[in-house]
Amino acid sequence: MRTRTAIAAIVVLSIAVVGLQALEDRAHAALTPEADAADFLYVQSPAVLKRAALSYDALVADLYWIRAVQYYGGKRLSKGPKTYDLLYPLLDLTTSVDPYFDIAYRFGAIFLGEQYPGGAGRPDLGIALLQKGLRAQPDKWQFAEDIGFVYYWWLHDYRVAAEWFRRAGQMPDAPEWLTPLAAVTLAKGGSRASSRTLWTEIARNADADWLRRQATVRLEQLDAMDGIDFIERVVQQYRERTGVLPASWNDLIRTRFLRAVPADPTGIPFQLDPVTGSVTLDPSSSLSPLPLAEQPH
Amino acid sequence: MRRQDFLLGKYCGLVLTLVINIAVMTAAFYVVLALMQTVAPPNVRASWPAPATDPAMLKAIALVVLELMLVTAIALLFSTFSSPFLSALLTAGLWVAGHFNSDLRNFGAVVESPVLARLARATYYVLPNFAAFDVKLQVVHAQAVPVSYVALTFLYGLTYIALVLVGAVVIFSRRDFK
Repeated sequence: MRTRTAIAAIVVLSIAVVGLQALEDRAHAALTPEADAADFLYVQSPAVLKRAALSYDALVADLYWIRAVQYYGGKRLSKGPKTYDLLYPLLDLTTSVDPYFDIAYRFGAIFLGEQYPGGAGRPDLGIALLQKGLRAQPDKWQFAEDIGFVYYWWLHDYRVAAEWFRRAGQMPDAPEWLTPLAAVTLAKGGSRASSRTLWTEIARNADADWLRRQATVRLEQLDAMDGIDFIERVVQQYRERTGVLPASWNDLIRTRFLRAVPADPTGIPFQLDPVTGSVTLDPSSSLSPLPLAEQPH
Repeated sequence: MRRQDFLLGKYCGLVLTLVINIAVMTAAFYVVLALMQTVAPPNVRASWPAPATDPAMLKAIALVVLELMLVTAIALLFSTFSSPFLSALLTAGLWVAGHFNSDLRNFGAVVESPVLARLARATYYVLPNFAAFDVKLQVVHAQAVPVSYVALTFLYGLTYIALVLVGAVVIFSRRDFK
C-alpha cells in the first residue's frame, strides 16, 4: 500500500469513526434510558462485608466510600428522577468496615441531610450516621458539632442543636467557640445572625476545603437574602411613590431608585415579579434554592 | 505473497473461526431455549417478557460477533509491532477501557479543569466504544433494539475495523524482519 494512500485512508477512516461515535452516542443513550438502570448493592450486610474484606478493611472501606461519593455525585448531576436509596446503605457499609473513617461520617451526613433534590433530604439518617460515629469514637467533638448542625440547618430544632453544640464544646480538644455558639443558638435560633455566626465559624475552622467552600456558599446565600430584603423594600418605596409596582428593573433604574440591575453575590441578576413585587434568585444561580427556614423576611 | 495479503488473510481466517464458533454456540443456545420452552409450565411461560426462543436475541449475538471482530483487529494491530504477551495485554487493556469509556464522556462533571475535561472527551471519541455493542440486557428483557441502531453500530464497528486494519497493514509492511 502506498504511503499517501495509507495516510489518506487513515485520515478518512478516523474522521468517519469519530463521526459515527457521535451518532452512536446518541443512539445508545436512547436505547438505555438512565431510569432503566436499576441500582443494586450486591453485599448489603455490613457484617458479611467486614468478614469478606479479610484484612483489607481500609481498602474495602475506601472503595465503598468512593462508590458512595460517585453515587451521590451521579444522582445529584443526573437530569432524570433522582433517588438516593443506596446512599445510606453505602455509607453504613463504609463506616462498618472502617469505624474510624471520619470523613465518611461527616460528609455522609451532609449528603444525607441536604435538601432534595440536591441531596437525599434525610437529616434523620445523617444524624443516625453521626451517632454511629460517636459510638465508635465518643470523644470526637466534630461528630457532636455536626449533629447540632443538622438539627440547626435542616431540622430547625434550635433547642436540640444548642444542646449538641454544648456537648461538643465539652469534649476534649473542642474549640472555644462552640460553647458561645450553643448560647447564641439557644437565644436566637433560626435568626439570620446566628446562621451567619455558625457558617462563619465553619468557614474559618473546617479542616476540609469542600466544607469551607460550602460554608462560603451558605454565607453568600445569607448575603443574597439580605439583598433581596433590601430590594423588596425599594420596590415598596417605588410603589408608595408611583402607585404601581415596577414592571422591570429599568423602571427602578430610570427613577433612580436603583443604580443598576441588582445581582446576587455570584453576579446573576435577581428576578423581579411585576405582579407581586417580590424579588427572587434566578433559578440558574448557584445559590438557588435558598434554604427554606432562612427565606427573606 | 504481499505482506498486506498475509495480514488480511490471517484476519479473515481468525474471524471465520470466531463466526463458526459462535454459530455453533448460538445453535446450541437456541436448542436449550427451545427445550426450556417446552418443559416450562404455562404459568412460568406467561411471566416471560418474550418467548424463550425470541429471534430478537440474534441482534445481540450479531453485535457480539462484531465486537469480537474489532477485538481481533486490534489484537492484530498490536501484534504487528509488539510481542504476543504485550499485544494480548494491550488488547485486554483497550477492551476494558472501551467498555468503561462512558466515564470519560462524563469526566467533565467531576473535574474542574476544562482542558482535562476536553482531553477526556476527545479520548472518548477516539477509543473504541465497546459498550455500544452490548445490547444483551435489552434483548433479554425483550426491550426494543431498533434495526437502525444495529445498522449504525455495524457501520461504526466496520469503519473502526477498517481503520485498525489499515494501520496494521502500514506498520506490518514497513517492519524490518532482518
